[in-house]
Amino acid sequence: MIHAENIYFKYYKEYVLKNINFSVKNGEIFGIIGKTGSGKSTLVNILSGLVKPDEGTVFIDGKNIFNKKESGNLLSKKISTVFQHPEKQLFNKCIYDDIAFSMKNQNIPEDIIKKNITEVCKFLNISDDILNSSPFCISGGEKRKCALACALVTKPKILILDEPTSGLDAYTANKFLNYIKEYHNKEKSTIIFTSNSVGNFAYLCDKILILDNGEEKILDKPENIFKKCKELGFSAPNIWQIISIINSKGYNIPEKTSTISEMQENIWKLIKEKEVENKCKI
Amino acid sequence: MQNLTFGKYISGNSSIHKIDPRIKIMASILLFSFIFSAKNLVSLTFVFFALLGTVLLSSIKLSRFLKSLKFILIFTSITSFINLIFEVYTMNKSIFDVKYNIVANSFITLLKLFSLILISSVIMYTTSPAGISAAISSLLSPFKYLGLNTEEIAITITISMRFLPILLSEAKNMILIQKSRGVSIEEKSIILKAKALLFISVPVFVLSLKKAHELAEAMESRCYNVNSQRTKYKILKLKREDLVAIIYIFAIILGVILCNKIKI
Amino acid sequence: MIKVENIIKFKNVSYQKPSFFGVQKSKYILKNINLNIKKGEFVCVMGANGCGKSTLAKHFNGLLLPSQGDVIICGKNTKNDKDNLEIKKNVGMIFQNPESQIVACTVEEEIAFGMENLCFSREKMGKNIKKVLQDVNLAGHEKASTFSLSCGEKQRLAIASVLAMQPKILILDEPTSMLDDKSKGQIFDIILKLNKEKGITIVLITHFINEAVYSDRTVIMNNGSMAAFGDTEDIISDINLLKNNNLVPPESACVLDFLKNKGYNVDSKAFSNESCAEQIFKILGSIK
Repeated sequence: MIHAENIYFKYYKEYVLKNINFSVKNGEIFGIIGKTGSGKSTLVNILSGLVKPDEGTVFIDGKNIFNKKESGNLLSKKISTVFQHPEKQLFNKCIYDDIAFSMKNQNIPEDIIKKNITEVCKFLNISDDILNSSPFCISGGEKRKCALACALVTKPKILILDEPTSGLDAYTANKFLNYIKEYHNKEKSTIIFTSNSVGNFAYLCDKILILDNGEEKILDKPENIFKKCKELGFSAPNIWQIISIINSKGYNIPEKTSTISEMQENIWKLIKEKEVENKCKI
Repeated sequence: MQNLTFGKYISGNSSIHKIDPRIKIMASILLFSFIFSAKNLVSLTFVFFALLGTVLLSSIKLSRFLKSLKFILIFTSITSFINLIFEVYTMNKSIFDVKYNIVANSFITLLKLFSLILISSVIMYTTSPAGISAAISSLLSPFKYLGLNTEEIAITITISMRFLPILLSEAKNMILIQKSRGVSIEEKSIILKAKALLFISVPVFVLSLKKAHELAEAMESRCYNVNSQRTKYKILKLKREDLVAIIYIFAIILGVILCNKIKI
Repeated sequence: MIKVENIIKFKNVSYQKPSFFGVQKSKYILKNINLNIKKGEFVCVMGANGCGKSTLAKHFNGLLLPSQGDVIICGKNTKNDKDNLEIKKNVGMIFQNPESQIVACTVEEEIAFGMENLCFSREKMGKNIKKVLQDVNLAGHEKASTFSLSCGEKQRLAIASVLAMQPKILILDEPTSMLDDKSKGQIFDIILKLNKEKGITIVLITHFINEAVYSDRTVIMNNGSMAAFGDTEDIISDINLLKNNNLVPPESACVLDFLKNKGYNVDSKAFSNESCAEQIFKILGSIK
């Protein structure tokens, strides 16, 4: 379990994060949503153990990650972070070297490195051609997948992603989120996302935290967050918006509907129910 | 690293802020040369207090200057102490003689460095990047006749002022990113430290090339051409206040020359 | 009938990256593009990542020249060197990353940059600066530092600096992709205003379908070729066309298409969430 306690962080005398408190259970998917400049990236750096907060700390399974005696080396904490626009971290001669980079720095033997890379590339559909190419010669979408591979290759227990779909088109973004969902289903790891809009990934989350100007605004389940989206200045997912307009007239489509096919099915059910109702009346 | 703040502009409305940036740059060059040529404690003390007066006129908090001065104080104390040990043990002089000279020399060095830092800080804190770029461009304009493309230099300075903070922040990010991949500049071994620096600087260099390309496209799309004529929106004009500043600077220089003649 | 002229013409345009040292020719990034855009139109270019949208965008103002075919802007061919400046003046371009477009350290200098390149007089520059800041809702921010602006404000500043050059055409390459929802909305309102009130021809490159719905016509790109070019309403309601080109149709269009296939009489072009719900209410209300 990850527990963030009383986190405060100053940047040149201004508070960027104030009084952040939340817990994420093992295996949960946690979303952090906030506009640009609300402190999301700073919070990601703190949760990854890379930057120490001015006050407060982060506990993972009861151990303070900023206390070396309690929690040991950073990488042994099994946290992997995918930063915003992760393509910029790729710089080695070929993608294979970039993916192997963090394992090499941990002095893991070559044969285990090769095994892990083969496994992760199979999972993410990264072809051998791409493994042998230079990171500067492949497309943006592929680069992002490779950056994800760099994070997943160490089989982290906790995966933190800072705006993972920023700059991607809807189709590539959906594919990317699917990989993360599949990884979560397979390894039951804890996942923390950040984003600057509510969007469709919100349906994946067990809990969502909304940050505003470095402060916690709301911490709740996605369905409850969608209701408050308008007053918070975000757009709720379109599926939820359509369903809530229909439900406002007294109908009862389940709010947990999260995919287009579910929505089509539920609307079809609603129409058929009404037809049956009318037939009974006659 | 965060305490070396003497590169940032603080906007304000003091009389120092209002002085033409060309005057400030010329003044700093003149004062630098006179400070280096100052021979005794009296002239240096005079310059230091004159500059302190300028600092007070700029209405910028003294604490900002003190932070960068603290670093120099520590540095000078260490070098003076090393110098003292060196002279006592290798030159076999009497401790009393050595002590007096060492103290006097250290003080002179300290005052020189303090004065240089005060001048640069006052200029940097009170002159906007745009002002500095316009001033350099204006001061270099006579060289146009020698074939120097002063416009290009001005744009280069403007773009550097604009992009240096951005590249610094990218470098800070990259340090964290590579730290998460097991490479840290905080390593004790020099080889590992050097490796870490390489793994940080290569991606940042690539990023800066990419930004440069994007910026070039944006500038070209807005009809920028290195060799074409351009008009200027902001033109620097000397004002009455600038005359007062010129007189003040010459007064300091005169003071230094007179104090140099005083023998202790 | 008044014939509205075509202000932008792409004739069989193909583009491949110039090869180094004449060694091997790289693949074609653009293949046989034919476009005719009328004055005052709002055209959207959509496509998945890597389909050549940005490369196409750079052909509109002559940043890139076609390997084959011609690009004619306001009657002038981009391949003619002497028309280069005239074309760049008429075609303003906004890029995806606001940070990499801003040259100066203050707002007014940034806006003045383009006008200085065109040798405008100082009085004209002063007037234009005030006007464009008003247009992008940044009035009064002349002396602000460009470092202190938010991402959305930076992008609005980029639009203002291009508007100050009084272009007839505006090309926007994914201008909102790095912004949050509120800023996206603000930028988009400005774009619509410029098109409807000032008659500026807009070519918007985006992968956000909810922005594309406001355009007059849409181009769909796939792997460097034009997969479709037609009225936006027709294109967006064609679910299969969008899916085949790696685009995600709007949820409302998917639902309406589903109901249409089940035999119900729905307006498949009711793209907004509210109008989609209205169509569903119509069906439920008509059940008797």
